[in-house]
Amino acid sequence: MDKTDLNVNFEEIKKKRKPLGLTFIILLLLGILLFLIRSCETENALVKSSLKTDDVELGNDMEKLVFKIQNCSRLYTTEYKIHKIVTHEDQKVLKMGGLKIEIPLTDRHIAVPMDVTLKAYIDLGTFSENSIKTDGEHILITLPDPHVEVTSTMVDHDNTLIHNSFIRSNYTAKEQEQLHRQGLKSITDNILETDILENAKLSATRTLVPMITRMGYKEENIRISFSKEKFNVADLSRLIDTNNATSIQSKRE
Amino acid sequence: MNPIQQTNKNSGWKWVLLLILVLIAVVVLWMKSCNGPILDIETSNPENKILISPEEIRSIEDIGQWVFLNVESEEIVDTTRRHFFRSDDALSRIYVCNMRFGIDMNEVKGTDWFITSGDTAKLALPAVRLMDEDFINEAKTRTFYEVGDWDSQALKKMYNKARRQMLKRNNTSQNLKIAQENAQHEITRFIQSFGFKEVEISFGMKINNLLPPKNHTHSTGAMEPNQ
Repeated sequence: MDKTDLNVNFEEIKKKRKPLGLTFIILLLLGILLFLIRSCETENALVKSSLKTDDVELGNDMEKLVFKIQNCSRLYTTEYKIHKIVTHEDQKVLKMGGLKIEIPLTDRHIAVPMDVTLKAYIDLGTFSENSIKTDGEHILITLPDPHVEVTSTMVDHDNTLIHNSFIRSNYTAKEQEQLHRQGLKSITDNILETDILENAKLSATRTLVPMITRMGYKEENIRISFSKEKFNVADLSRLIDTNNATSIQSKRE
Repeated sequence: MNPIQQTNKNSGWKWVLLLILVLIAVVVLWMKSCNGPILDIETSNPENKILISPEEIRSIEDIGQWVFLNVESEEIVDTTRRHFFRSDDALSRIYVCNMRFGIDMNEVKGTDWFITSGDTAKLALPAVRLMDEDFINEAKTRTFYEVGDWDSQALKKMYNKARRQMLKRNNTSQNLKIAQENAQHEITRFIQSFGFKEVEISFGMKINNLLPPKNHTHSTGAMEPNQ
């Protein structure tokens, strides 16, 4: 075999190796990309934000367990049941300097139906003789402002829809609870758009008037008024119990 | 192929390779000019914005629940899933509840539950009980330990477990008794505000057989122990 034949053979071998080498490099780059995407899943911004709002250690969680028993006198007059669907979606994006390229097959979506129960109540703990004015025939009762409270929220786990591509991890329990909180917040932020406070007043009247008529007053001589007739955004913060804790004392203006 | 063609072909590949290297160098210099990492992977929704459907008010109901006792508590619920070839999965969550005990005034509608005679008022009220079947604020649930992948059905089971534990802990005869005593005190005070001196209140008789069938408690404004 002469030198020319050897060179030809060598060139043929080199030609076969080139596509193999190129394929190997492409697979290596894809593998590195896949590793980078998965390694970013464990602690993403959604979980970090939840850690910021609830950054407690295990020991502090045990101390924060609450058990409160509170005597009260509240007349709950109106109940609203509200249904909301909270959705969230994201996709991994490859960022190279200022350029952003969406990575295919890295999207995930979730739709969470939630049911929230709001109740409005009148705090009768401050009710006294001073709240009543009567001349024996007519009676005027002044009640405190109604408050609104979130009495329960329930997630419809049976109808929760989750879609995530195979290289993304599933929504964790922590991530889902962040979505639930945002959904609840959006409801409490929009309470003024409902007429729950007005309905609370009407319902309180419908509950108390029959009781007062049994005391001997005629229905047309009974008048029930409240501290404030119309509410604005400034009143809202003091009238909504958002932390399931004690009632907020209304302040007379 | 003659040696000249071979040489031309080799030098053509070299020019292509050189062009690719120049392009890579340009891209790298351009990315370096931007502040931040050259290569990064982030989410398309960095602020984790959620989309919320419009509010659907499913029901509006007039209720007349007079609540006298509020019990707020938290419950830890945990669950474990064992694996043979790898470490176990675990999930621990804290659920928050607010349980209200009182009377439902809608239960006395159409009855002579309030009778007055001079300066005496007599009231026959329903039994003090837990007001709501749903008392957990699931949106305030906190997960403090999570290992493994947990689906919606697992979360539902934990919710049901938390509910059972809360009922067992809080829906007790002791709490019902406290609620009734406070009801006695508050209702008496409320009725006396209208000028009545004597207030007699009787409650329904289904508080875990705590009270005899006909229990009349006579109050002159001060709380007296149940007979």
